[in-house]
Amino acid sequence: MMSRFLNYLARNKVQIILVMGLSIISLFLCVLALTNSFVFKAQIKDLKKIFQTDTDKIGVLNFSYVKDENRFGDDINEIKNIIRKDYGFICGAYTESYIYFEELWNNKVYLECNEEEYKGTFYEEYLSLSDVIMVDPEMMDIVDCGILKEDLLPITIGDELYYPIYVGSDFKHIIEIDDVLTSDTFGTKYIVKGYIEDTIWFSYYDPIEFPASPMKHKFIAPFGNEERTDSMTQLSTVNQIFIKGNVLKESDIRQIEKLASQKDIKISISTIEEKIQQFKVDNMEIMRNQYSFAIVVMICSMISISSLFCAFILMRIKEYGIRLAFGESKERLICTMVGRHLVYISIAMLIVILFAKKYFDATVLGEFSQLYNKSLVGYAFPITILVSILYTLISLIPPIIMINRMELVQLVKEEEI
Amino acid sequence: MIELVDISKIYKNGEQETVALKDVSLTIEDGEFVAIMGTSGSGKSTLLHILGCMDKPTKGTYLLMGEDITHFKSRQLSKIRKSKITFVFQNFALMEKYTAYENIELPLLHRGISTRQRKKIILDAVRQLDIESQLYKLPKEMSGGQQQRVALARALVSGADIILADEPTGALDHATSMELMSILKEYNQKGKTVIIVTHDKEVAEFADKVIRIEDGALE
Ligand SMILES: Nc1ncnc2c1ncn2[C@@H]1O[C@H](COP(=O)(O)OP(=O)(O)O)[C@@H](O)[C@H]1O
Ligand SMILES: [Mg+2]
Repeated sequence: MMSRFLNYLARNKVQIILVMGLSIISLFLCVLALTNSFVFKAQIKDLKKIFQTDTDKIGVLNFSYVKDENRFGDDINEIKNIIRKDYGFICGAYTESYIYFEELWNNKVYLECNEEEYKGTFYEEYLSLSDVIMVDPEMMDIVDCGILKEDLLPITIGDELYYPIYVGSDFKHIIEIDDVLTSDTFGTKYIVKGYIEDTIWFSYYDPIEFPASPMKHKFIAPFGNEERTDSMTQLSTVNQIFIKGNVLKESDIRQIEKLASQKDIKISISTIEEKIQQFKVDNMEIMRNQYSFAIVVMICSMISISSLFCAFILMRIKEYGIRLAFGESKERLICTMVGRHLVYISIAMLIVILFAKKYFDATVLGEFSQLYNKSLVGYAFPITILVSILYTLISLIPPIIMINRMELVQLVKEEEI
Repeated sequence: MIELVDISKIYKNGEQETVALKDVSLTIEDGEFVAIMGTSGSGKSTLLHILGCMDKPTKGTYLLMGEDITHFKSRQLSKIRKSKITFVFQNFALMEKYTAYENIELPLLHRGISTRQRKKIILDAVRQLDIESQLYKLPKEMSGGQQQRVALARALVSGADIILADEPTGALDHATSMELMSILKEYNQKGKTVIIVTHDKEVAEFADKVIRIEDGALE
C-alpha cells in the first residue's frame, strides 16, 4: 500500500508539484485573511471586555497639541478635576512604565523570572526593571480588572504614606502581601495589597488599535503624589485619558474641549464606540481586499486543479480502461483519486501551517504575537482545514463526473487496449 | 457454464440504428475452447464484450453459471471481471507506466490478499510462462511476445475460469502466435474455459468448437 503510493508519487511528480503549489498558495492566503480578521475581532472583543460599560458612554481625549509641556502635569490635573466636579464625569488616565524597585534590584529569583519574559525585547538587558501600570484610581470605575477604586487609595502607616500596589500572578512566589516596594524615581513607597490573575490591560502603545495583553507579569498602582504632578509622567498618559458618564452630552464635550484650549492644549473627545467604528472601517477595507484576493486565487486554483486532474485522466485513459476491464470499479477509481488528493492537501496544509507560523513570527509585532498565535491555532487553522477539504472535493467534481461517464466498452474499442 | 438467450445489441446513433447482434443464443460449457469467427464488422467483438460483462445487451438474457446477470449493476459486473472472467487483448493492454510485476498484480489488488501472498501468486505465474526475467521491466522494454505473456500472466493470476481473447494473436508473428495458442490450449486442458475471436483459420484449429457469426447472427 505504502510502496504503491510512493511509486505513484515518483511517477507523477509534475502533477503533484503543480497541485501542491496551487494548494499551498491559496490555502496560505486563506490562513492570512482568516487570521487577520480574527485578530481584529478578538482585539475588539478584548477591548469591550476591559471597559465595564457600553463603549458609547466612555470617551477618550485625543491630544493634538500641547503648548507648554512643562506645565502639563498641573494643567491636566486641573482639567481632570473640573471634568469631575463641574460635569460629574468620571475621569481617569493610565500609563505604563518600566521602573526600578529598590527591594527587587538584586533579587535573583525576580531577575530569573523576568529573563524569560523580557527575552528578545529591549528590556532583556534590564532585568531588574518592573513593568508598572500607573493609574488614577478613577480608572477602576471605567475599566473592569477586579480592583476597586477604593483599593487604590493611599494608606498611612505611622507617619509614612504608602500606595497600594497589585502584583501579577507570575510573581506570587517572590513578592508577598504587605511587602513594601520603593520606586527609585520619586521614592514613592508601595505596599503590596493583592495579586492580579487573569486580567488584561490596554497596550502600551494605543488602547484601541493595539491588542490588550495579560497583566500577570505586570504591576498596577495609583499615581503617587509626585507622579500625579510630574509633567513627564502625565505626558505619557496622552491619548490614554478617559471620561465616563451616563450620557456624554455633545455640549459638555465641546465645553471641555474649549476648557483645554484655554490652557493651550488642543483636544478632541470621541467615544470609544466611535473609535472602534473608525478602526473597523479602516480595517474592513483591508479585510475585504484580503478576502477577495484569497477567494479569487482559490477559485482560480480550483479550476486549475480540476483541469489538471481532467487532463491527467485523459492522458491515462488507457490505464483507466485497463483497470476497469480487470475489475476495478469506478467507485474505487474515484475513491483512489479523492484519497490521493486528500493526502496532497494534507501535506500542503502542513506546509502552510509551518510556513504561516514562521511568517507571522517574523512579521508580527511582539505586542500582537500572542493574539496571532491564538487566532492561528484556534481559528485560522481549523477553518482552513475545513476549507481545504471543501476545496478538494469541489475541485474534484469535474474529474469525478468524467470517470463516472466512462464507458468501458468504448474505451476498449477506441483505444484498442 | 455460459448461456446466452436471444441476445440482441442495437447501437443507436441519433436516428440511425445499427444492429450489431441479432437474437444470438448460445451455450458454452465449462472447460470448452471456443473460437468465434466472422468477417470484419460481423459483431464478434460486440459478442465478446457482452460475454465478458464489459457491455450489456439491449435485449435477451445472460446466465453465468446458472445466475441471471443480465440486469447486474456496473459494480457487480466489475466484481465478475475481477475474479470470474478475464481477458487477453490484441494489443496486450498493459499499463505503460507500470512494470510487468505491477501489471500482473492488477487483478489481485483490493481483494484482501497480502502483499506476500500476491508476490507468491505472481512468481508462480511468471515461472510457468517463462518471463521471470521481465518482471521489473516496463512494457516498452519487452518484445510483443513477452508483452502478451505478461498479459497472459495477468489473466492467469486473477484465478478466473473463463478467459476471453479478442484476436490475441493479431499483433504477433506466426511462430509467436502458435506459442501463445499452445499456452492457451494448455490452460484449457487444465480446466479453463477459453473463448477467442480470430480471423485466422490456423488459430481457430486450436478450438474444440467454432462459432461463425455473420451480420450479427450466428450461422
Ligand atoms: N458504439 C457503436 N456505435 C455504433 N455502431 C457500432 C458501435 N460499436 C460497433 N458498432 C457496429 O456494430 C457492428 C459490429 O461491430 P464489431 O462487433 O466491432 O465487429 P467485429 O469485431 O466483428 O469486427 C459493426 O457494424 C460496427 O460498426
Ligand atoms: Mg473486433
